[in-house]
Amino acid sequence: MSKGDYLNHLAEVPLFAACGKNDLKLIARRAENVQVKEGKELVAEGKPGHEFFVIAEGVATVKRKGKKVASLKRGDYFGELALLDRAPRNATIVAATDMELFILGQREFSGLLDEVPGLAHKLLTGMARRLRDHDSRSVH
Amino acid sequence: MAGMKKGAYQDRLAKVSLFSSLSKRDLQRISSHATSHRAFAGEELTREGRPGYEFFVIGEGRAVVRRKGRKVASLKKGDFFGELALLDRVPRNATVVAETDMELWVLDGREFGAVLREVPEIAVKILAILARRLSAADAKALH
Repeated sequence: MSKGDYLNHLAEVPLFAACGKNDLKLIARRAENVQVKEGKELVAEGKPGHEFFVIAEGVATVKRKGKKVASLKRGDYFGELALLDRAPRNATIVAATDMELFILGQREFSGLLDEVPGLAHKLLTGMARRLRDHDSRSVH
Repeated sequence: MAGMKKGAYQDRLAKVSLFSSLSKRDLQRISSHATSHRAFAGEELTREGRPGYEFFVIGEGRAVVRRKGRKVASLKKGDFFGELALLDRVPRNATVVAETDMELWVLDGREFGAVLREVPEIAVKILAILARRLSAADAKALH
């Protein structure tokens, strides 16, 4: 993939959509672009987590205690909870198709949060939405 | 804030755990955005179902969180609330009432956005706290 293609590819991810060109270049430098095969386990419930994943292509399945609880698709991201609260992974995630991922290690992820403030804001917004879903379900 | 020197204002901000590890410069940035508010016991701070325009950090005192009339949590010094409605721009999902007289730091949506931009450490701290709440909620949803 050429550098320009790579940046365009990153810009298509909603999480990075508000990022300027310089921010995208920074993310491109820090992120690893990885292809994985269907069936590959990306994170394992109960294990420590050291990476943040963004889905560029493909679909993944989220399982908790062996039960499927969600599907993730292109543009979705996962793995940030264990990095942020330094607790073990709270779910297992398996590639349901062949996938292309952008992967950030703990240090790169923390660095980007400091360097690209729009990113923290976007992550906060996504988390707020998920928390609200939980809150509304737990009173019913 | 009327009647309080700038230095005293920052000292008080520094005592709030959310802000405790910040540099003097970052505290200055936050104090330039935040407004101090004294609430009386019984004062309603947010109302479930209503639009929300403010983020609150508790400097002193306690508050009760209610959902559909039922108490679901207590908040104390150093806790914050109000961020969900600001972040995803939907109505308040809980009513929060002052249980004692309180001292609060208040940021409106624009000020909150400015603080997240100017003080990334705060954004990361809030992210970590929300991550913990989300992990706990995910775990509970299974049982």
